Amino acid sequence: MSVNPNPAATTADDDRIRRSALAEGWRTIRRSRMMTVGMVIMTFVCLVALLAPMLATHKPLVLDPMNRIQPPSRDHFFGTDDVGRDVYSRVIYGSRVSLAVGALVVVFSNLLGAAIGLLSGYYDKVDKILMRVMDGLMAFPTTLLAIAMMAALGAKMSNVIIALSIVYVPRVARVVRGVVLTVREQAYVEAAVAIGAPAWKIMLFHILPNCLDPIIVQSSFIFAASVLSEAALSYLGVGIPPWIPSWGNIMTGGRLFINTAPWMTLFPGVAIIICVLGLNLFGDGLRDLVDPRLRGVI
Amino acid sequence: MKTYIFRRLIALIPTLLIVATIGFLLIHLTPGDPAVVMLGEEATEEQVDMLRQQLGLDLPVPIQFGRWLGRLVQGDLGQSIFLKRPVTTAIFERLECTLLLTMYGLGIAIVLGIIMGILAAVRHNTLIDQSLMMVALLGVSMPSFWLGLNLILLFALRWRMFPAASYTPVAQGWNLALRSLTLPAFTLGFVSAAPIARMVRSSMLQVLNQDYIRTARSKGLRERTVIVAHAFRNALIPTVTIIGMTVGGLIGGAMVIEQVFALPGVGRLVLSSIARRDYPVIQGILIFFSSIYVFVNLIVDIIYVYIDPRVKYM
Repeated sequence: MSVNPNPAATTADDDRIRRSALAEGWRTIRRSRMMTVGMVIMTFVCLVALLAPMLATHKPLVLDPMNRIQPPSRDHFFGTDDVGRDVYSRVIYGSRVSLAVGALVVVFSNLLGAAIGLLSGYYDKVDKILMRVMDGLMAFPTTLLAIAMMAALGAKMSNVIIALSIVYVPRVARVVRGVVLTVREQAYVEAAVAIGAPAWKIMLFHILPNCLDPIIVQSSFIFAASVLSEAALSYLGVGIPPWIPSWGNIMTGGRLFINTAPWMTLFPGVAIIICVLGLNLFGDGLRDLVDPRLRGVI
Repeated sequence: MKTYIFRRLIALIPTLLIVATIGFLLIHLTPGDPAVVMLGEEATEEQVDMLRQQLGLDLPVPIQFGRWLGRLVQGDLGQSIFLKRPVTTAIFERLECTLLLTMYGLGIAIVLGIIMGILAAVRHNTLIDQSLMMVALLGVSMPSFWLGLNLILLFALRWRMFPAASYTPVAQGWNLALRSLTLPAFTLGFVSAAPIARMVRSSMLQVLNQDYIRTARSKGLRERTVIVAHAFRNALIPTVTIIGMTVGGLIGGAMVIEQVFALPGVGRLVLSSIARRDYPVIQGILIFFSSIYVFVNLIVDIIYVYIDPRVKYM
């Protein structure tokens, strides 16, 4: 370890670097209007999910048969459903379910996908096998694979997360592997190998940080796709159990009343569109900023 | 070219093998004994034993896999427990509707996607471009079944332009069959058109700036010829890839849309089989459609070589 001759100067330098990093971040945000709009929308959706108990006007699960199938009014902003539950409050609480599913799918598919991508990019020996398995997984139409897995596992919220995570693992693995293949040839990785750093350290601390940009971009798209897939699975009756108010489930309840009570499907659908639109805008904007060449690839 | 296609076919074998393995393992993912799960709690010990024997579940897993794979290679997807028929028969009985819906949807997606993409690129940075891209972004952000429900509400229930939920088989006339599938196919096509439109736009924009386009214009060619024959020909290459990828989405999407429009296709068969715990059918459908998807991607790769002479088939 070298001794620092002038600690005060370094703190000032650190400060300056930190400040310039912040300024850089702010400039980046201002440069991409798309990403900013996406971030604003996502912040809004997250706030709705966090403040659900304060924003909701009724209990989302309480039945009120006297007030069934009421059109939107001052009492019920989005109307009521066939058993008298307040659609507005259900949509507000539904954001918690959809965001939780999306976020957990992102976490699990990233953890597994990044591990597979790192290993197969770093070790040539396992590359062929792992990538063949990933190709095999990608050979399935995603919705069909998710439906089949839900059939085997059973309709539970945790199973939705497991099934969708597995479906999206290959996407992360391929992106990470691609970055690893270029990064591992760099001189600093070679240097780390030369000084005898263990492989796991090189992968985690020297290679993985380079994969973060494409991982974040990919995550926003996986998040968006998971929100849509969760809704589709729940709509088909193989997703989240019907008593949990997810956006997909609220719509499933409304499909039989599409002619008499269109509000039952309209509002949860709009909620999904807003959320997914925010994620897509954020992802598109970030991708263009990080690397415009990735357009169409991710 | 023949060697190229042959090599690509050989390369498909490991992919198909993995598809088959995952499909096989699926039945073993079920918590507990699959035979008990399929027959329900009320089944007698005898019935469970018989089913276990019938499905070969009493054998060691590698032997089960070997036997199952042997039958699969011969095109045998097994027997449906509930329908008491081969799974392939059950699939083929319902294939017409699903296939027609997927193709019709694909056609709409391609036409809509290409027109939107070209228009947006030619009118780059104008109101037309921005609104078309906004529509495309909405398309990728919209649950297909939600769009389907709203189309039913407007076009079938309110304005009575199309049937709400009925399928007329091709045997009664192509016209009627296509009419009965127009709303579902449009739903499917619109949602899938968005990625195609975005890809066509961005690859057209790259091409339109190149020198040979300026040359084509300067030698006095009509703008339409420049756009369609010169620019689009090159923008087509990445577009074909994305169209191939769209097919996977369309197959999965068809399963959902069939439920929305109550169409008697394979998607409904999957869902009713899930309710009946008829796993061989679910497994069979998964493998059948994944194989179709794998072959579609092979065809895309072959088309690729045809439209882009620069791609050398190694």
